[in-house]
Amino acid sequence: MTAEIERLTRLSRSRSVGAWFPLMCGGTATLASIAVESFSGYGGLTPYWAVAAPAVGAASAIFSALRRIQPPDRTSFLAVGLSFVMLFAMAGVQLLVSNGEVDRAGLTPALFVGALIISLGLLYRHSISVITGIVVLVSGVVVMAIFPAHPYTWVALTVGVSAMFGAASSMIAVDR
Amino acid sequence: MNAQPTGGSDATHEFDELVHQRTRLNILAFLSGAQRVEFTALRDALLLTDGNLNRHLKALLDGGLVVTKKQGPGRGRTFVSISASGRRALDAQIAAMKRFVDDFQGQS
Repeated sequence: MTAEIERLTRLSRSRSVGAWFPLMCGGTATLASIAVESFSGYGGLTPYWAVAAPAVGAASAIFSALRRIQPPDRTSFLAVGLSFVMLFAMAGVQLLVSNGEVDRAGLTPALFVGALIISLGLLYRHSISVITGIVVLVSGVVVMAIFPAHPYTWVALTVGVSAMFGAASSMIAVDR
Repeated sequence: MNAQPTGGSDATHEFDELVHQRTRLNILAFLSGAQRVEFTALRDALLLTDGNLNRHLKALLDGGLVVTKKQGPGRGRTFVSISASGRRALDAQIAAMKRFVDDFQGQS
């Protein structure tokens, strides 16, 4: 009976998170950015992400507010605060270290995104998000180290596919 | 928890009848993992009927263990959340059940 209590508590916690939605939105926006880069070059990504990142955040916040099962308020406030801090830190680092070209420094957002997904996963006790964040972080580090041709495409492809895989896994986990 | 160990166990005296009932215990357990749960989501998750859930929620409301709130336009959506005393009662019940199992295993 205590196992049943723990199972129900875990179930409501995992259903309240609804991690599949921000992962799917973030994954879609990341994969779409590959097309933006190929059409308008690396320089076109700054205005794209200036619009896409807040849009993903706002859509996720609205989605969370409308959910039938809502996570604890304190956790939600922490998550929003953490996201803002990471977004500003990411923008700040980009302004300081990147010269607007596809150099290694220009790939640092992948590290911030990975760290943010891991932090949010830990905050919501959502293991799939933690794993997704680790994959994003490691892929960012690997691409920065190897620095292959079309590095942004590689990072965005890995981040986007990882996020979509994480979203699908979350949906399956909640539906069980 | 129907089995009573031979020789008796004082741990069962610690059970709160309001919380110990299986459906009400499941309701409190589910609510404890979230801030608010909509009535229909709670009903669907625990595979209950509207009437059954209403009956148990009324008992928990009367005991001050849960709180309900209507949100949204029109008739609105009814959200249920566990109260601080409900959380304490759930924790106490889980602890009592664990002690009961320990006592049972100690005697057998």
